[in-house]
Amino acid sequence: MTPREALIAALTFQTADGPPPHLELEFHITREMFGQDALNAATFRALPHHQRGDALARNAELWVKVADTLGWSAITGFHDLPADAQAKGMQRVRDLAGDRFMRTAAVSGTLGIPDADDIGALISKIAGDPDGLMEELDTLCRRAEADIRTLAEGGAELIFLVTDYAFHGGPFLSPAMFARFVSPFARRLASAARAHGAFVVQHSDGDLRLMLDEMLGWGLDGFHGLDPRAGMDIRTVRERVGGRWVLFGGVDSVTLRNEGVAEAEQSALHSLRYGPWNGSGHVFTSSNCIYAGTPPENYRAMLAARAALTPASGNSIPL
Amino acid sequence: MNLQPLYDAVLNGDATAARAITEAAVAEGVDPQTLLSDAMIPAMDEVGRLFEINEYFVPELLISARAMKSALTILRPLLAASGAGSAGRVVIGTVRGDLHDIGKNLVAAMLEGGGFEVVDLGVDVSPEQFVKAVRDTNARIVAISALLTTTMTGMRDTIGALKDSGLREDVKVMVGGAPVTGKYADEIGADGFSETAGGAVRVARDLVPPAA
Repeated sequence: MTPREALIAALTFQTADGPPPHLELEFHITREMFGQDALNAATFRALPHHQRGDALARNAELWVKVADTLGWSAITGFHDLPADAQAKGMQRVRDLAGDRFMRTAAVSGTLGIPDADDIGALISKIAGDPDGLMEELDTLCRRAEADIRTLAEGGAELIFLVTDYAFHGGPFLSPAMFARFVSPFARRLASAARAHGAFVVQHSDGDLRLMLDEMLGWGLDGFHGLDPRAGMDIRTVRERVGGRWVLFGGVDSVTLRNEGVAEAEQSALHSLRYGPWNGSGHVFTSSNCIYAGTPPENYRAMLAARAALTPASGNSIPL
Repeated sequence: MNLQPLYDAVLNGDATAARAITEAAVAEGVDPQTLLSDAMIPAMDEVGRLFEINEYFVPELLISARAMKSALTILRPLLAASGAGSAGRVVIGTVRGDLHDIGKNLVAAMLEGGGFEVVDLGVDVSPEQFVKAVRDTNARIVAISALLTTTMTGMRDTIGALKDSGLREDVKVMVGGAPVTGKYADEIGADGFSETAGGAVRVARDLVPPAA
């Protein structure tokens, strides 16, 4: 079974041999572990057009190396780039690695927590012109639907809808506003991804426990994030969603960043123990990302906990 | 005068009504301090309470704060002319290296709604800028925000800078933000900590009680 096939098994709740598949949505220690910075949007945009192809190729080589070395099931290293560049990057990955890894992409097209500079204008619209706001959100969603088409035609097999809806202390919007201003568009994006044959997973930071029932109606395959410091402990969320979502995450990113190897291992074991549903439906990742400054030994401890799973224990730790 | 409509206008975030009621009340000769203390501040206290129990969310809180500000534009000159003081002056900012300010803005809005005069230094504020602002404004409270574990150490640096400048005994320091805990606040020598914007008002009132 290839890493990509292991991820497909998890995404479809099929039991597979070996530990759960692994990936990271963002991984900010490539310099420390591979001696090379990943390509980001700012660097990409600053490049002359004739140099961008080479930059995408170097980035593809880096992320295939990351995936091969660290046991990832998917390539996520182009998410920061515009949709057409993500699509070109995925083609480079395919040239290098064939179908060994799942090709993923990221899209943002719903109302999330705005920048502080924009929040005043948003509040005015919510209070004074909600219909106008809905028209703006429709335009945003249409653009994202077009991006999904570009990405799917470029080979993306898993689309992450990346929008933060919550703070540590709870959702940005009330449940009623969330249902009105977010859900219709999120459902459209999930539907667009599925129409192109892609899996679709929502990422959000923060505490979304109040919104889980609403979000379960969006047509997502899964959810990425699960920040225990925001109350979204993987055990809590698994108990709420059962087998309706594949869960990505649960290994505390802040623990990985700020604490030691033993704490990193404990957090990883907790995720491995409580992430699966009937032995599948779990993708082993950090709760947000591998932050810059995370000691590589802590990340390796997280991987070691996963690698220690034996054939007898299957792909999860018995409760 | 029945102050309930003004209370309701602020609570429901109706800026137009809040301003109109305030204008009418002032024209009738109602004491501006009464409007503030008996209607507007209690309404914002209720907003804070509703926010803490997840009945109000950020937009509702900010819409109410906007209504309060709308009415305050009428009252501020009158309060200043009458010599009425605020609950206290607060210098607030997000620590150096941290560009997040939604949480800080919520606390600022709630403090203002609670009757405090707020001097907002914005984001990425150095310890030296906090010290200068305290010196320039005679603030009674410094409120420091951080969202990142990597930047929250700036809180300790700011408290250190206040000590070095000889101002530490003159001001109370309160801290908050996603990674900040009460334990951390104690460790760095802060005087107060709150997990929520509404709670920040209570902490500020405890730190700087109104003069008898």
